[in-house]
Amino acid sequence: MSLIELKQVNKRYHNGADCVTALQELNLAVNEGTFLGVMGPSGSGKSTLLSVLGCLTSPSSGTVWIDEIDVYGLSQEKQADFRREYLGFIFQSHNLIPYLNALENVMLPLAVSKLSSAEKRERACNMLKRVGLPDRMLHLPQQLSGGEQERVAIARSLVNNPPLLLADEPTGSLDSATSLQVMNLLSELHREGQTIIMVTHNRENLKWFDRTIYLRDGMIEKDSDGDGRSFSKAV
Amino acid sequence: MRLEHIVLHNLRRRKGRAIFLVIGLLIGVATVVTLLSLTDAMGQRAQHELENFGANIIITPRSDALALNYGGIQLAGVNLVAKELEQSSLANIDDIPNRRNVAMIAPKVLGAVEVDGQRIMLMGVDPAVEFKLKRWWSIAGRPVEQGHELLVGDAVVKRFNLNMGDTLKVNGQDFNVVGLLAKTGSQDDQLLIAPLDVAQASLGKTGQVSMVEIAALCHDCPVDDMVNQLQTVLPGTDVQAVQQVVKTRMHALGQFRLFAWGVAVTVVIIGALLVFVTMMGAISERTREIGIFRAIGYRRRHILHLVLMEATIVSALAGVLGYLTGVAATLVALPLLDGGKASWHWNPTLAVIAVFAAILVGLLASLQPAFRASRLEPSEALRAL
Repeated sequence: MSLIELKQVNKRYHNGADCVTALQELNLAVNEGTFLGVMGPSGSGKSTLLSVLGCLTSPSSGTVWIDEIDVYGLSQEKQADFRREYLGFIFQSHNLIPYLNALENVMLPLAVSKLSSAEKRERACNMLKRVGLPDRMLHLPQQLSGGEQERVAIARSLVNNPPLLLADEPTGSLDSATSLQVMNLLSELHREGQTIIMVTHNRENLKWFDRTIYLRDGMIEKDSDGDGRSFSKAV
Repeated sequence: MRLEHIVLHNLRRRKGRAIFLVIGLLIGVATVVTLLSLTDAMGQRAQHELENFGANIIITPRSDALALNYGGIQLAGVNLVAKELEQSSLANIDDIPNRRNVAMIAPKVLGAVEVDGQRIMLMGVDPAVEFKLKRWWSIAGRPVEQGHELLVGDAVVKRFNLNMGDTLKVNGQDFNVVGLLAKTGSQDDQLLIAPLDVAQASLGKTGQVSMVEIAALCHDCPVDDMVNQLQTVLPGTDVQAVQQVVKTRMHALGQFRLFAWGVAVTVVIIGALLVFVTMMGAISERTREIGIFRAIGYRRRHILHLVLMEATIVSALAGVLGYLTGVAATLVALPLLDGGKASWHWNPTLAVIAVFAAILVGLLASLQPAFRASRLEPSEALRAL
């Protein structure tokens, strides 16, 4: 059974009389432990796909199953719980809360959990050590480099031990050396069994994925494994 | 790490906005506290003055005849024989349920006496009470105390060309003039005033009184009830409340209180609008942040919690500081408004109400922005990403 299953997913945005189709009849199944890359030109529907997978944007039609849960069949509040328990988000611009230090930013998803303060702190500390920032815990985001901020964001996305990690251009604003560090970290997580779906423009990142889908006009143009072998095509 | 930490960190980071909000609400609370404290202090002062103003209930023997004078003009040729009350019956006043509202009982005996062949009104009073009741009397010399002493009204002084220390023969008995009453413009100018027992003996009315003036504590006291109670324990009398005095003062106070509340409500509404606008601005400013919270799994109620807790902290602070500012303003304003006569008294109820009202106003004004924040779709909020 796949961890993720999208069936006949359509997403249309309406702006007055205009209607923009971001996703068209999209079918996708992703197994647990996959490091899936999502590529495609601007406006191809990459970010929309990530939003739909992240329970942030409901599809106009079709179903999205994650871990055998019909996520858009859940109420709004249950969807919030689902995001907290099942999903980790890494955003392109890190999106750390500027008035919280690194440790507090990592603890953010735990603030509404029933864990004790000591447990929350311990988990966040371990996660920051895990991403190589044991000595930057009390620094505010603006005191950290771009790469360090990205690693804090990764630590925050993983602190709840989510089955699925969604990353939107995590290296988009980083230099090549820092990008390499971040990709190494994600690859390490993948090797440990983490399922990751990552949107990227950078073809150099292809080597890290064990599967890549190419989107064009809201449809999967090409679906290939890590070696570049195309094993399905949907247009 | 709990939601409270996020709120406190946010307030610390956005100090300027927090201070602006606190000041906005603080001014509202301080204005309300000042106006209400002033009203309260001046009300208490007015009540005190009212108590010292004089009688507000008059007891006279019942008469079936209608009054034949108006504004001091006596109908010529008509002379009614006055009835009297038994002085001992006044002890019954102690039996009325509202006895504690009775501040002073001033019995008087009245009658005409002969002085140098002229008829003059002699009034016998209880010196221990009468001169406290008639605080507006200005006396040259001293009030009567006991024995054959006289306090003389201004018209009588002029008629007989009297001076302090003179002796006046009243109904054939010698009285010493110990005090001259300055002109009052009332019937008091026509009187000779003597101690009650001496006047009763001189008038042949021992143990009798012609009328009784009662000063009741009238701040919210049931004057009409008291009239009925006195009527019950003193049968054969007419008990009348001098309602005009009481009602005029109470009306004036009521008007001032109404004005104070009007200003207070206006200022509070302005304060609430300020909170509303500031919180709406803050929500717009924090759209991205709220999107992050929602994306990482915060429920709508968590967002509501964050916004309303911030409003509560700011409002409570504004309430406490506003109350203290209001008290300070009251202390400064009281001497200017009431000539330093009214004094401020700490009112714990007002302190508690000020803080809770500030919190309530802050929360109500923040409700809409909080709901707006909680309704933000994460995808909408994160569109800027």
